[in-house]
Amino acid sequence: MTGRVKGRTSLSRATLREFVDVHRSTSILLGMALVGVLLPLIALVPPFNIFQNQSVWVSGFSNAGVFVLLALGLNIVVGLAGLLDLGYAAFFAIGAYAYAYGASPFSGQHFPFIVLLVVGALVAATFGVLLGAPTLRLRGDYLAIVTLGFGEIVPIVFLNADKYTNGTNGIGGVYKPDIPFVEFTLLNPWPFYVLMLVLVTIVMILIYRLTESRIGRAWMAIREDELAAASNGLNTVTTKLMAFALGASTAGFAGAFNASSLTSVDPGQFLSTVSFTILAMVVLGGMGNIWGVALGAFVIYTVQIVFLKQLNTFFEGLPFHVPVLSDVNFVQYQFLLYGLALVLMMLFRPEGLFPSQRRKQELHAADAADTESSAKATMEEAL
Amino acid sequence: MTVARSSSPASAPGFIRRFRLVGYSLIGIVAYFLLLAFMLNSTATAAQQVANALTLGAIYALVALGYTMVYGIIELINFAHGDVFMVGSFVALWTLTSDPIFNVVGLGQTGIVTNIALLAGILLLTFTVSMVLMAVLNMGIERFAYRPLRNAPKVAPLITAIGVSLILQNVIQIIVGTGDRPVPQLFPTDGFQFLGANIRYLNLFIFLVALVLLYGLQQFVSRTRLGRAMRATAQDQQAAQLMGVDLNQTIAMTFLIGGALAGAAGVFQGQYLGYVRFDLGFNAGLKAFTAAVLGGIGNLTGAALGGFLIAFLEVFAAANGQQRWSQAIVFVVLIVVLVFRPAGILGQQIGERA
Amino acid sequence: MKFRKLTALAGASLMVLGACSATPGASGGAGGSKGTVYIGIELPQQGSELAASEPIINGIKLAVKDAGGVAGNYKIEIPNSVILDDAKDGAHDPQTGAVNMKTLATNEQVVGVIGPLNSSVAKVQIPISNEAGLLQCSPANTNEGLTKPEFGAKDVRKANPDKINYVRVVTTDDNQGPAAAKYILEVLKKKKVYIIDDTETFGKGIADNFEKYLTANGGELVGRDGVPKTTTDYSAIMTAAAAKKPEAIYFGGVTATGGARILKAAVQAGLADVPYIGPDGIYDGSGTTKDSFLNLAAADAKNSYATAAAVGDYPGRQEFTDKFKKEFSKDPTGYSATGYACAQVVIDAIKRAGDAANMKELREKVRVAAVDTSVTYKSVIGEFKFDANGDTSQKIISFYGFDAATKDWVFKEQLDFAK
Repeated sequence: MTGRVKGRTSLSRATLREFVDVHRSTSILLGMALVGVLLPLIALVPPFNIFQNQSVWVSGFSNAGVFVLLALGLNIVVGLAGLLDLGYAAFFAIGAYAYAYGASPFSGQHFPFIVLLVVGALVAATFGVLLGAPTLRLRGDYLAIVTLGFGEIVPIVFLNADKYTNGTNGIGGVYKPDIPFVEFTLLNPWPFYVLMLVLVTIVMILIYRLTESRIGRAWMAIREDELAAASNGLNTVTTKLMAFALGASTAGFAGAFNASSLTSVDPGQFLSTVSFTILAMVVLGGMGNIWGVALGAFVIYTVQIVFLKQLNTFFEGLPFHVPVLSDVNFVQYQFLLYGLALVLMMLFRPEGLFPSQRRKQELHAADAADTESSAKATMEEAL
Repeated sequence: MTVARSSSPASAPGFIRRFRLVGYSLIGIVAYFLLLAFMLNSTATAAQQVANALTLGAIYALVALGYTMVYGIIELINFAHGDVFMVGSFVALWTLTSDPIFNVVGLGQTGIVTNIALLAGILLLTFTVSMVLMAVLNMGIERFAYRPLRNAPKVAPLITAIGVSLILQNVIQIIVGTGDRPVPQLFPTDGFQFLGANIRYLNLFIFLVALVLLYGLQQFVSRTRLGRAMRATAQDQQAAQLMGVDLNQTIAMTFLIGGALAGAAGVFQGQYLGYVRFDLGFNAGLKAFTAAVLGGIGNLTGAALGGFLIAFLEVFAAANGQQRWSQAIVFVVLIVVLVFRPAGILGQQIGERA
Repeated sequence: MKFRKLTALAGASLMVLGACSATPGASGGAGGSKGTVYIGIELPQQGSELAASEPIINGIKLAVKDAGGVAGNYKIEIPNSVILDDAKDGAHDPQTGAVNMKTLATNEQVVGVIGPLNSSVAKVQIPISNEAGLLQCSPANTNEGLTKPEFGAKDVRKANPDKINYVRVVTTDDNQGPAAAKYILEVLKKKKVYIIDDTETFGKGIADNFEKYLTANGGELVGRDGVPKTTTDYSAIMTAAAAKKPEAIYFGGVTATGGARILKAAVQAGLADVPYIGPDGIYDGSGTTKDSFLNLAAADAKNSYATAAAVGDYPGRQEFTDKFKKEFSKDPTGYSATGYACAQVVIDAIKRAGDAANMKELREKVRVAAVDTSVTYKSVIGEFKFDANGDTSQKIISFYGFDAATKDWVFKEQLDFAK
C-alpha cells in the first residue's frame, strides 16, 4: 500500500480506484457528500418526481438511512465475522427504548440527543455482550437459534412489562432531536436527512477503519476458518464478541435515531420480519462490502416503500386492463420476492450484487476447493 | 437410537436405556400432573392439561424430528421445515374439503364422521396424500436449494433455507389469503372420562399415532440398510462415502422422511386446532427447532422428548394464566440449556466440527 | 375501532341525505371558482383489513358525490394519489402510516384526511398531522388515549396540544368496554367473567376498561390472560378458563388476532353455553363474509354478542343503505356510514372556512372550522358536536347478538353514554 495519487489530468477508473484505496475515509466522506447532494436532485427529475414530491422523497431517504445503518451493523456480524444473527431487531428495539426512556414525557427525562445516541448504542452493546458471552463459544449455528430466540423474547418483554414500558401502547411523545441552531419538525425532512447523512457517514468510516484494522482481519480469519484462526493463537471468543457487540451497538444507534424521528416506540415495530428484512438487505447488497450493503439496504427500502406501492397505483390508474399486472398486489409479493432473491442469490451469486473482493473469492473457493489457501492468506495478515 | 454420533447400535445397553427413558418420562408426566393438580387445586383440570400437553407435544415432536434428522446429517438448520409442515396442513385441508383449488376436488367433508370405518378411510387417504406430497416437496427443496450449496460456507445454505421458508409462506398466502381457513373436524367432541376430565378421542388418536410413527422411525434408522447409511453419513460423510454409501440418496431419504412426518403433523394440526393459516409454520418451526436443540440436536429420541418438554412448558404457562409469557419462557429455557448444556438433554458433548 | 355491517333493522327515515350541512347558507358563487382541494384517505388496504376499508372509501366517495363535488367556492376531489394504504404484509403498520401522513401533510392541496382505521396507526400519525395543522377525521378509532388528556393525549398532539386537529365520529373505548360489562351484568345477568385480550393497543385497552367497570359494579373477575396473535393452540388456555367456571367470557381484540379461534377452543373446553362477548373488532360482517368472526366461528357463535362504538339505529339508515347499494352494488357497513359522516364533517368545514388567500391558509381555516365546539353537525348518523378534545358528543354503544337463522348479527339495543 505505497501507491500515491499522481496528478493525472484524466481521471481514469484505475486512478479513482487507487485514490479510494489510499484515502479510504476521505473517499467515504466525498462519496457520501456526493450521494447526499445527488439524491434530492434525482427526486426532482422524471420518473421520480411523478411518484411523489421532493420533500416526501427526502423524508423517505432518511427513513431508508435507518435501514442502511442497520444493514451496516448486521454486516459486521454476518458479513465480516460470519456469525448468523437472526434476532437483530432486538438490539434495534433496545436502542429505541433506551432513547425513549431518556427523552420522553413517559420517563420525565430529557437528555440531549447526542448523548442518547451514544447511550442507545452502549446499552444495545451491553445486551449484545450479555447475550454473546455465554453463547458465542457454542457452535456457529447455535448462535443463529439463540439470537432468533432473543429476537422473540425482547418484544415480548417490552409488551408485557407494562409498568416499565407502557406495554402495547408503547411510549409516545418521544422528543425529537435537539441540536443547537437546527429546528427539527416532523414536516421538514431536511434536518433529519442531513443528520442521517452525517450518522451514516460516521458509522461507515468507523466500520471501514475497523475492517482494515487488526480486529477486522481477525474477523475475516474466523469467518474463513475458525479452527485455524484459533490454533494460530487468536482468541476467537473475544474477537467474535467484539463483532457481536459492535453490530448490536450500531443497531442501538439506529434505534435511537428512529425513535427520535418517529417520536414513538412500541413493541410491534421490532418483530422478526424486521430482522429478516435486514438480513435480506445484507445478503443482496453483498456481505462484507460496506458500500454494497449500504446500497442494498437503500435500494430494498426504497423499492419496498415507494415502487411496489406506486406500481399498484400505476396499474390501477391505467384506463385499460393489463393481464396479470393489473390484478397483482405488488406489495403483497414483497416477502416472496425477498425469499426468491435470497435463494437465487445464494445459488448463483453468493457474493451479493456488490461483493467485496475477498468474500467473493471465499464463496467461490468452495467450487475451486482452495479454501485453505485463501484462509491462510488472511491468517497471515491477521497475525 | 440416535442418528448422529451414537457409538452403539441397538444393543443390550441401548434397550435398557430406552426403557429407562420411558420410565423417566412416565415419572415426569406424573410429577407434572401432581404439580398442576396442586397448583390448580383440581385433578380434573390437571388431567385435561396433561392431555393437552401430550397432544401438542406429539405434533411438536413430529416436526422436531425433521429438523434433527436434517441437522444430524448435513448440519443445516432447515428453516423451511416449519413451512413444509404448514403446507402439509393445507394439503390435508384440500384433501378433506371440496375447495376446488387447482381444480382438485377433495373428499367434501364438512364435519364429524360417525362411521368408524369411513373415518379410518378418510384419515388414511388424507395422511397418505399429505405425507407423500410433503415428502416430495421436502426432497425437491433439498435437490434444488440445498444440494448445490453442500460445499459452500455454512451461512449460505442457512440463508437459502430462510429464503425457501419465505417463499412457501408467501405462495400459500397468495393462494388462500391471510385469514384462518377452518378445517372440518372429523372427530366427535366427546371422549372418555379420565380422572374427571373429558379426554377427546382425537387427543388419544394424535398421541398414539405419533408414538407409532416415532417408534417406526427408530426401527427404520436402527435396523435397515438405509437407516445405517444415514447414521454413518451423520458420523462422517467422507468415510461413509468411502464405504460405499450413496451420499445423495441418503440425504434425499432423510428429507423424504422428514417431509412425510411433517405432512402427518400437518394433518394433526388441522384436526386439533380446527383451522390452518399461512403463517402457522413459522412459529411451529421455531418451537420444533427449539425442541430439537433442547433434546440434543441430531438425536431422534431427544427431539421427541424436546417436543414434549416444550409443550409441557407452554401448557404450564397457559394453565397458570400466563400465556402472554409462554413464548418468552420457551426461549429463555432454550438459551439457558444451550449455555449450560450445549449438547442438549440427551446429546453428547461434541465440539464444533471445523 | 371497528364497526361494520349494519343488518336489517326496522326504522324509517326522515332524513335527506346530502343536505346535511350545519351551515344554513353556504356561500353563493360558482362552485370550484377558487380552485380544487383534496380530501386524503389513509386506511389499510390489504388482507383482511381491506374488507373493513373498502366500504369506508366508498362511503367517503358517496358523500363527496352527494355534495356535488363542491364545498363553498372550492372543488373537492379524491385522486388516487391521496388514497394511501398503511398496510404492510397484509396488516396495518404504524411506520408506514407515519410515512403516509407525511406524504399527505406535504401535499398542500390536501385540506383534510379521513383515517386511519387502527388506533396504533393514529398514535404515530397525530403528532405529524398536529404539527402540520391538518384536519384528520377517523371513522373508526376508539382508543381513548388518542384524544383525552387524562389518557396521555397531550403527548400525542405534542406540537400544538391545544390546537385540536384530530376528530372522530365514533365514541371511545372507555365507553365501549364498560358498556359491554354493563350489558353482561344487567341484561345477561351474569356476574363471573373471564377476560382474554390479544395484548394489542385496542384489545388490551378495551379489556382494561371492561375490567374496571365490571369489578367496580359488582361483577367478579375469575381470571384473565393475554394471548398474542401469534398463538396457535388455545386449548390449554381455555381449559384453564373453564376450570374457573366463568358465566361469561369477554374477548378484547379483533377477529384477525384470534376472536373466532378463542371461541372455538372455549367450545371445545366445554364452555359452549357460556356467552361470549367482544367489541366491534368481532362485529365484522355476516356468516357469509370471508374471514369474518361469524364466518370462522360458524355454529360455535350461537352465544356470541358484540358491541359497536357507533350508533346502530339512526334515522335515514334505510335510505342510506339503498343509496349505497345502488351506487356500489354492495351493502354498506357501519363504517360506510361513519366514513360518510367524516366526509360530511370535512366538506362542511371547508364551506364554513370560506375563501382563503392560499392553500396553507385554507388548511388552517378548515381545521378551525371543523373543531369548533359550538357547531352541531347534522350527519348521516345523526346530530353531534365535537368536544374540546375532538371527541364526538354521540356516545352511543350498540349491542348485537348472533342470529342463527340469518347467520348474522342482529341489533339488540343501544346505550347512550351522553345521557
